[in-house]
Amino acid sequence: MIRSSISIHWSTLASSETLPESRATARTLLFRVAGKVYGCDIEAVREIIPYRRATRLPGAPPFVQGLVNLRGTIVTVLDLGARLDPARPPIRDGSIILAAHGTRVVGVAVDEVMDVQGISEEHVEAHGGARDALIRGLGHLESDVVVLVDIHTLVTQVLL
Amino acid sequence: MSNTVLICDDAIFMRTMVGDILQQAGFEIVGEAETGVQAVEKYKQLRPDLVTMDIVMPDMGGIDAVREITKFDPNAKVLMCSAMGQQALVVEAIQAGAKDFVVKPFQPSRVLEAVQRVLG
Amino acid sequence: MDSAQYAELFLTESREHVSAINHSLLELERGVGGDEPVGAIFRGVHTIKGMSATMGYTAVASLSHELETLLDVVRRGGSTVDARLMDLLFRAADLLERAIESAVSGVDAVDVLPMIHQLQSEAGRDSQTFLSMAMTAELPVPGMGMGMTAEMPIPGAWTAAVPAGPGMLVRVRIVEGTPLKGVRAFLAVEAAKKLGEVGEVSPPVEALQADAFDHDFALRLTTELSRDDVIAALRRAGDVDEVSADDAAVSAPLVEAPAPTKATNGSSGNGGNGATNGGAVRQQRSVRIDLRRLDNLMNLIGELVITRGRLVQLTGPVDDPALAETVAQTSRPVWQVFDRFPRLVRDAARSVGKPVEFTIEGKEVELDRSMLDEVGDPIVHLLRNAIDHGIESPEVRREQGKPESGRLTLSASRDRSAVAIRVTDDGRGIDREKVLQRAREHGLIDASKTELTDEELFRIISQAGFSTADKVTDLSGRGVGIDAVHNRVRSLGGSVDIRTAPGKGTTVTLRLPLTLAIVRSLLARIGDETYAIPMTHVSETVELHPQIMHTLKGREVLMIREQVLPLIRLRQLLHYEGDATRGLEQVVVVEMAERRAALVVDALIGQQEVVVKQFDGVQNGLTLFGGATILGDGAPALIIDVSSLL
Repeated sequence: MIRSSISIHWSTLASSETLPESRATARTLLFRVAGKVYGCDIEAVREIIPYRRATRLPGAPPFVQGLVNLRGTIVTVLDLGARLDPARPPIRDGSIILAAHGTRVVGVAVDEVMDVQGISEEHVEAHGGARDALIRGLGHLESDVVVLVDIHTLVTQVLL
Repeated sequence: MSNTVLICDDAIFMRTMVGDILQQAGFEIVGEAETGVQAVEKYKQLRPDLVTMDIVMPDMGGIDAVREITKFDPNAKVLMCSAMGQQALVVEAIQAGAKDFVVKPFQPSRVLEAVQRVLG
Repeated sequence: MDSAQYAELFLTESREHVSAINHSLLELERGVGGDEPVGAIFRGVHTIKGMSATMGYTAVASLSHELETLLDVVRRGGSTVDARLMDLLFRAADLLERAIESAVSGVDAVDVLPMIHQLQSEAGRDSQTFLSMAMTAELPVPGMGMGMTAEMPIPGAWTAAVPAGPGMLVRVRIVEGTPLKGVRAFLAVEAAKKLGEVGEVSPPVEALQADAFDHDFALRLTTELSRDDVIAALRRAGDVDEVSADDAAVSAPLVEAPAPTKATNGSSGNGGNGATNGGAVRQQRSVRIDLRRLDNLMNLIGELVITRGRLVQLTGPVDDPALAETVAQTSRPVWQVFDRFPRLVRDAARSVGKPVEFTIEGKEVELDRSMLDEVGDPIVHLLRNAIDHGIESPEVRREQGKPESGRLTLSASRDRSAVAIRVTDDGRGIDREKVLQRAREHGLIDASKTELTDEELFRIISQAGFSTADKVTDLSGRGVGIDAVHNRVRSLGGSVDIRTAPGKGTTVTLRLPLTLAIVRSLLARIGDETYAIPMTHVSETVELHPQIMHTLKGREVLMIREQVLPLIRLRQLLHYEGDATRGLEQVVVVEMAERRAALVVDALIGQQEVVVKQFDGVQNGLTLFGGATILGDGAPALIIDVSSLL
């Protein structure tokens, strides 16, 4: 359902020369956290809801905002801003991206959801030496560079 | 008005199957019993037009239940549900007052024919 | 209902029967209960036979038929119950179980023939198999009906000898392939008896009953009825292919023809009258409910409870016996799961060569159905652990002056609204020294520690992968220990407790809420958030007056009626900053088993039934919560797991 509504901006890739058909193009959800643009694979994204206050989960790391009620299901919400930069104040506005990891759903709070774009694998610069396993690499768009985060890593790092 | 039926079998599976066959044929299932004792009690309570009776049940077997039911109501219409290899038991049940019998595996048409025979 | 649903019903019910069969086999083996075990096994097998034949599961049907035949021989005393026979019966029961599962899954891959031959030779017969009988039975039978359709008489000579004596010569042919044709013939004879006096029957009735005839028989009938009436009446016996009657006695019919007692189909115009004469009292009608529908209903009720929470401020408390009854409907007695354990214990004990006396207590205690399904594996695990590691070998037990047979008890009991399931053995107990040593090696505890309390012991052995088994056996798996049990039980909202004494044995207690879905809770406020404390564990609430507070060995305690309770400030425990803003704080006294504590909260909100929902916990987070619920305003609230506080 989500996939059908995604417009893949091939134009943004036009400048790049050879584009073998076989190379995978990952549809990427772009969003902003603390003024920077990030992206994640849209395959994992189930739904995007407006920010809502979470019930605090005592004892959890600071970047865990807590629990929200999604139509009767309780979802744990993580603050991507605070996760990437612990000094950052918690997100209190914006959107929550609901991402699926196996049978589990986790919420990721971001400042703003922007767009969906296709990023071909060869425009992804693997972040081999990244300090943070959460960061998969850098994705090059026409005029922008986005930091690609791996939702699945985020979930496995945080949830039991 | 549709005929009322009491289904007696210790297996839910069998009760469901017989119940479905009869319900589809327009019968009203007014009760189910899992043991012979229950069968007799429910018969007295519900006075159904027809009883389907399994032979092997815990507590009180089907044959004794037929005997009790017929003692209570000589006109009771009881259809025995038997399995292969139960000749002697079915004969005993008929002597006890059962009107007819069907043999598992049930075929809906055969069950309904037997029921029609029993109800006259 | 479609065939898939029948299959599901078949599977559920057959499993129950297999479990009961195994249970009775164990009784039979132990020689208790007199004739009853054989009778019970016979009934179980018989029911499976009937159901499987109906489903067309031929392998299951023929296997159960042969097993039934052998059991009948045993029942009649024709075969002695010895170890060899028991072994055969156990194997047959196992195969039956596999054949059932396999048949339902659609791959009829279980070969039952070797077992069928074994059962047959044991029963002392090797004649007709049920297979062929079932096939005959399923042949389409031509010419059925009640004489309503014109039937072509199958050309065939009458074979029965002409019976001697006076009266009308009546010949009856039963439709070929009729199941239990002897009984059918018997019914026809009975029908004839209603028409007049029946003289000689050929072959004799005894032969007919035993199926020893070739589809047709003859009898002499002295009657006032006409030939046609006799023919019509005998056709009504059912499955009658052909009837002939000679004209020997034709006289005017004096007996009234039996009037049909009821029209077979509702004739028009009479419907109105008929509807009013339904005099029979119909009470206590039982209803079959599909489990999925019941689950659905439970979900809807969950929604209703939430909605009720929203309304409760406006409407005040509502009494809802209907709700309680629906909740009770989803409960099942634990024997539905426990009944398979005796067999499992027997096999497990045999495979390690330790005689074990196994007792089950509290079988009738009820537990939420979905929880019952979940709790089976943990219990299996505990039983295996006890047999494998707890109970000593007979030699060791003898040396220690214990009876050679180990004692293993599984019990269920209910206190307040929780169910406690206990596995108790009289074995060697958990070796504290060894646990301590392993824990030090793994860095799980302070290396300077020399003693372990029960709590510490439990905390250590419930860590993933911790095992003190010297060698890995096939019984309790590798490294998967009490931690798996603990996790499963926690996920059900329950708790685990272990008591162990060296040389005396170990008791593991699983404490489970009665139902997963709805828990009556005390809502308490801490900071700007609400927490739910299950009422099961709440014994009282008091205000936190300074005069009841004391300090004992540097810790805050509360004195209530001479009792000293440790004080737990939830504000601190849950990392809230600052103090409660206004008024006296409140104390919730909680208890579990014999342990009690006083929880300090900012304020009490009230009692409410809450729907328990699970959520994904976070790593390194507090393990103080048994789930969460959704409050009337739609916000989630955490449910405090009292057992983890005590």
